[in-house]
This record gives sequence, C-alpha cells and structure tokens, in this order.
Amino acid sequence: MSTDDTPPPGAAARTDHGTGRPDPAPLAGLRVLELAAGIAGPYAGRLLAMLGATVVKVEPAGGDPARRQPVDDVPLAAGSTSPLYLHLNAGKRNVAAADRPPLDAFDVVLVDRVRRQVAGTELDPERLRGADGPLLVTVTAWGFDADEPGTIADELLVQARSGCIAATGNAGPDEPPLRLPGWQAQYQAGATAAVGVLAGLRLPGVAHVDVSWLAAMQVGMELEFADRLFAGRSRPPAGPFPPAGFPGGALPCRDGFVCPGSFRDVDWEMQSIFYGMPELYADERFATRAARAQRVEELWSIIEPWYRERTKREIFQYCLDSPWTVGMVLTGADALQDEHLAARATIGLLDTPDGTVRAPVRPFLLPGCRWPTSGCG
Amino acid sequence: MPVADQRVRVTGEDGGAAMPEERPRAGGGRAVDRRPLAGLRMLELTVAWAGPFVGNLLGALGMDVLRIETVRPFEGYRLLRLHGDSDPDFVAALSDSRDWLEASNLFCSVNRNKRGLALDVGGAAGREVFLDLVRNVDVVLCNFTERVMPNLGLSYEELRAVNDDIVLLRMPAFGTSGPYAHCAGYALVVEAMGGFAARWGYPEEGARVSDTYWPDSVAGTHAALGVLTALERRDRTGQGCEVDFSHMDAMWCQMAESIVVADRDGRDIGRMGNREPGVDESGIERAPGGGWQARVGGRTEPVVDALGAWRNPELAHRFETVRRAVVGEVVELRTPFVIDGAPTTTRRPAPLFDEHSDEVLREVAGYDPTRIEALRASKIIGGELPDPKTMKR
Repeated sequence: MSTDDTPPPGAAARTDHGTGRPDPAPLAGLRVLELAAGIAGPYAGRLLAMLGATVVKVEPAGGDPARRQPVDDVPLAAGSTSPLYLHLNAGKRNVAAADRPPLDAFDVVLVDRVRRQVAGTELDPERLRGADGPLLVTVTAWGFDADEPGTIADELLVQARSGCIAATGNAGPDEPPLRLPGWQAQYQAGATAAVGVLAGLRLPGVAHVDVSWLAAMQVGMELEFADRLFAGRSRPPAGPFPPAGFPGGALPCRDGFVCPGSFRDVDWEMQSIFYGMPELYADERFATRAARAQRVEELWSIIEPWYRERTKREIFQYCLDSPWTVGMVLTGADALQDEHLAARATIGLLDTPDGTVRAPVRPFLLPGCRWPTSGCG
Repeated sequence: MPVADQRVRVTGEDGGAAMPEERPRAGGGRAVDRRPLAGLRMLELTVAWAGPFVGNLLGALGMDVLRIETVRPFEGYRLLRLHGDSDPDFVAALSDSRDWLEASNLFCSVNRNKRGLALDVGGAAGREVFLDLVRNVDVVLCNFTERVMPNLGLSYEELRAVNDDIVLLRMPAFGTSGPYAHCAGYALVVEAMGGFAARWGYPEEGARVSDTYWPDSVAGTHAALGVLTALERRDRTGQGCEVDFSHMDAMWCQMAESIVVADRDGRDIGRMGNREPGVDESGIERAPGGGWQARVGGRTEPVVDALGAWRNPELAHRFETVRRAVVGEVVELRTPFVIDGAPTTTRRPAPLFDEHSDEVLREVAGYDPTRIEALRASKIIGGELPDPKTMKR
C-alpha cells in the first residue's frame, strides 16, 4: 500500500514551512461517519475526505443505489459500478453496518434521513443534543421535517419546486423549462452540507445542522430570487444565446463549441480586432450589449465564418493572449487532456473495484492537499 | 449486500489507516447562539457574485464580514436589475440620485450579513490602512484576477508579514496557478470550461450555456468550504495559508462523472434534456391547470418561478423580510442552513456605501477619530459614488 505522502510523477509534495516534514492534510484527524447514500450526503463526505478527513461509510441494506445509477441513456455494463459512485465514494473506508464503530467514535455523522426515520434512535437530534456525541448533519431532498428523504431521481422534482428553472429553456410559449444537467441540486447540497459540518463543529453545543437540496438549489439561484422578489417581475427564458452578453452562448466552431464573454467593453473591443473588423467596435448597431442583444442573428451572420474556421483551442488562445475572455466547451475527454487541470493536479487516480479511473481529487489547493504543484503557501 | 471495505481509494492514499485519535471537543449543553462562526472576522475584497456569495453565507453563520468597496472602480452590481424596475414612480424618484446605486436588488441580496467600508487600497496610505485591518482579522477573501493583489502590494507574503496566521483565499475564475490563471472569466465561461455546457440541453444540441450564473454559486459554496478548511487547519497547526481556488475546479467536482466515463468507458455523457437518467417516464409536461409540471414516474411537481416558490406556504420558512435603507422592506431568500431546528436568518441588510467605515476602523484597526477624519479628508476612506446622471445605463 502506498502512503499518504507519495507524490505522482513530476509533482513534489509540499513540506511544512521548511521543516522537511510533509504538511498534514488540512482536515486530518476529523472523523466522519457517513450514513448516507445517493449523491448529496456522499458528496459532502467526499469533499471532507479529499481534504483529509477519515470518512467511514456504511451503505444501506441492498447497497448504495448510486452504485447502479446510470448517467444517461447508456445502461451500465453488467457488473460495473456507476461512475457516480466511484467519484463520490473515493477515499472513504467502507464497513458493514455490524462492524462500524460506535457513534461516539466520530466527530460528525452525515445522514440522509428525515425526522420520522430517526425519531427515537441514536440519531435523533433530541438525543444528541446535550450529549457529548457527534454533530449530526442531515442532507435530504426537501428538508428534515419532510415525509420522505428523496431518491436520486427526485432531482428534477426538486429543481421544479425550488423556483429555479422556470427561466431556463428556449424562448416561446410552447417551450418547457430546462432542467440543469447532472445532479446540481444534490451536488450543491452536498457542498453546502460540508460547509455546515465545519461551521457546526466550531460552536460547542450545536447538535444538528440540516441542509436540503431544495434550499441549496435556491441559494445557488439567489440572483433569480433577488430579481423576482424585489421587482415583482418574471423574466422570460432567454434561450441558448443569453442576450445579456452577445456574442455569447455556446457558439459552434470547427471542432466543437466556444462560449465568448462579452460583458465588458474590452471584450467587444478585442473581438472586433480579432474578427478582423475593428469597425464593428464603433458601429452603433453593435456598440453596446443592449444593441447587440437586438441584433443577435445579424451579428452572428457576420462573425460566424470566423468561428467556423477555427478550433476551440485556437479561439481560446486569444483568451490566453489578450484581455478577452472566452471558454472552450470541454467534455470529460477534453478535461483529461487539459493542460490547466493537469498543472493543478485537479484530476487524480482512483483505485476502484472496476480498476483504476481518473476523477477530480480535490476542490481547491492549500498546503497539505496532496501533490500541489504550485500555489500553496 | 455491499461488500465490506469495498472502497474506492485515491491512488497513493493510505485509506486503511486506523481511526484517528479522539479530537478535543467541547462539552455538551445548548448553544446560546446558533451563529457558529461568531468570533471570526473576514475582510472581503470582492465584486459581482461568486466572491460576495462567500461572505453572505459565512456572515449568516456569524462571521464578522467586512466588505471593502472603492469609488473607482465601483461595484458594478450596484447597477444591476434595480429594485422597482417595474415601478416607474420608484425609478423616477431614484434615478437622479445616488440612492439609485443603493437600490440594486442583486447587490442588496448577495451582500447581506456584512459591514461595508469605502477604502481606496490603490495607494500607499490605503494599503497601510488595509494592512492595519489585516492585523486583526482571520481571513482575507478576494475574487479579482490573479495579478491584482500582488500588484496592490497585498500578496500572501505581504499579508503574512503583519499577521502570520492569516488565511488568504483568492478565487479568480481559473485559480492563481496554472497556465490559464491570468485569464478573466465569467460564469458562462466556467460553464464551458467546467463540463456543464457540454452536458446541458437536449440530445440533438451540441452544447448550451445558461444565464443563471450557476457556477458562481458553486464556486462560492466551495470557497466557503475552503475558508473553513484553512481555519480548521490553522487552529490545529497554528499556521495560516493561502488557498488557491479555481471556479473551474469546483465546477468539475460537480460534473465529475463526465471525467470518469470518459476515462473508463471512452465516451462522453449524453445530453438528457429534462429526463432523469434511468427513469422511463420523466420530463417536463403541460400541467392540467396550465403551466408546466415535472414528472418522475408517477410523481409530479409544478414548475414554479421564484414568486411561485415564495407563494408556496410549505416553503414559507425559506423566506424572510429584511428592512434596508432606501429600498425599505424586501423579501429575501434565507441561507440554506437550519441549525438545531432554527433557520439561519439575515443578521443585517447589505451595507450602504461607506456605511461602516468609521466604526470598523475604530473597532478593528484601533484608529482614533482624528486619524479617521484625516483619512476621510484625504479621500483614502469614504468618497462618493458616481452621479447616476453621468452614467451610461
């Protein structure tokens, strides 16, 4: 078994302010019991594990349903584990329920159950309050007092009820709203719960922190709420080309798509130069964001050939070389080849029951996170 | 049944080590204040949303967040989607006044739970004031591009020289290290670079970005985790540190299955439109009473907008009324935490420009009134926001 301190090829482990000793992982010593399955609770556990916490996972009877969760219309191969499970549960100890240490061996217990499911048990917050036991952090779809904790497939229902997706999708009365991709409500709740863990531990006597997917999703769309609750107005869906900053949206190029940024004046100034049409910058038809929003089709007809002739990497090079900001639409395969993610060692290797796979291994860089290549104080 | 210890290890990591020893832990008993971050203080030098999101979240949890603004450049969010845009009388009453810049619905929402200072950190005198504040805070948070803080003479090393256990978290779009670190980025750029755009939309599409600014909140949440992680580490080791935060990294953490599928199965994940993977009957359809509803198997939920969510009595606990100067009472979304049964409420409304400069300099930097007055006279602190009549809107 290799050790905590083994760096990957080409990356040196940071040491502890010149002492020569490797920095300990930032959350080393934090003991987390994960009694959660699916996405949200396990993502909270995964983030804490990435940062060095010891996370002990106990799966429900029948196993964590994330093991068999398809990610699209392609069925999982027989005997293979879902990529969701592999990512979400890396770096944890997995024990059978009968073998898990007692509750008081942990600082935190992550739970995906609602009140009625834990009432009267050792996980009842009323029992934990006043006891010298772990901090209870619950993560469920609708909140601790709901009837049901939610399943992975409730993602769409939560996005619908939250108030967050009404303004997405294509413009037009017959166009439905459009669900955000993947499992954003559950992931966001997991990240929020991880914040709740580290916050809750700081105040003696806090027994229970509750986070719902719905609340996390709402806060993640805070601007929508600010706009509508303050101004009392509804904004129609913008469609695939958000008019707030055209040229914008996912624009087709030679080998995929790019997303130009066009919010600042300098963005438009740079683009007009790169397009070889500096006169566009002074052209009143396109001089402001508001003006360009009125002429999306007209402007696109002018600049489309420029995009069609270039690869996304060629276009992104302008971002690297100038103040303009533009993004390449990266797929998972692109991420595996991306030089920036490689330089930051964002993606690492996981040893899984299905063999070795690559996935993100940390959310940010700080001393003690494994194998930083640079940027850690 | 799951196989015991059938775990997924990170290569090179010894996940089989024994359980750590017991951590020191405070005794039981009811907390008298459910603001667990009370006693911690953060200087926030941020613009737009992702950075302010961090202070809003941590401030609600009790952290004393000191938000620094400048006159030039001033915070652009003060101009966005103003409260009362749909009310011509409100607009007419404010549009010729500097109160216009205090009435932005977005600014007021994302900057709650903070005190506000107007401080010009661009010169030597302002830098000195900033460093005097740094001496008495736990965290400095910044979401400018990578070069800004070093150019201001406010690198981690320079902050550490006055406060050796300071935590600095900088969060440019692509972080502070790596070949893209110098590039600016917006949320839609992060949607593209973070794996979101490639999977959003209908199967027949190639890619799509949103105007929800979703990656800002993803980054803000993970950056809040970064702040608390660094503080946890500081408490244990006595050492501060700099956190190098990239929005792109955080977005990929929430789209990570794309990377696993690409690596293991050699393919990209398909766009699903509104369907739930693995559920035969799912999507968004016309609701019997009008509007849209989401369906997953035999269950349905109406698709509501923010106003619809607010009107749902079952979600009343998610909202609160906050009173703020200029705009009066407004309904705000609560932060997502419920602590020991009580939702975390807004501690204070967003600060007016320059509202707390004197108070904070007195309390945190230890300045006396004479010194504060001199700083104000020399425009190091305070100042006036631009006259709206002169601005292009």
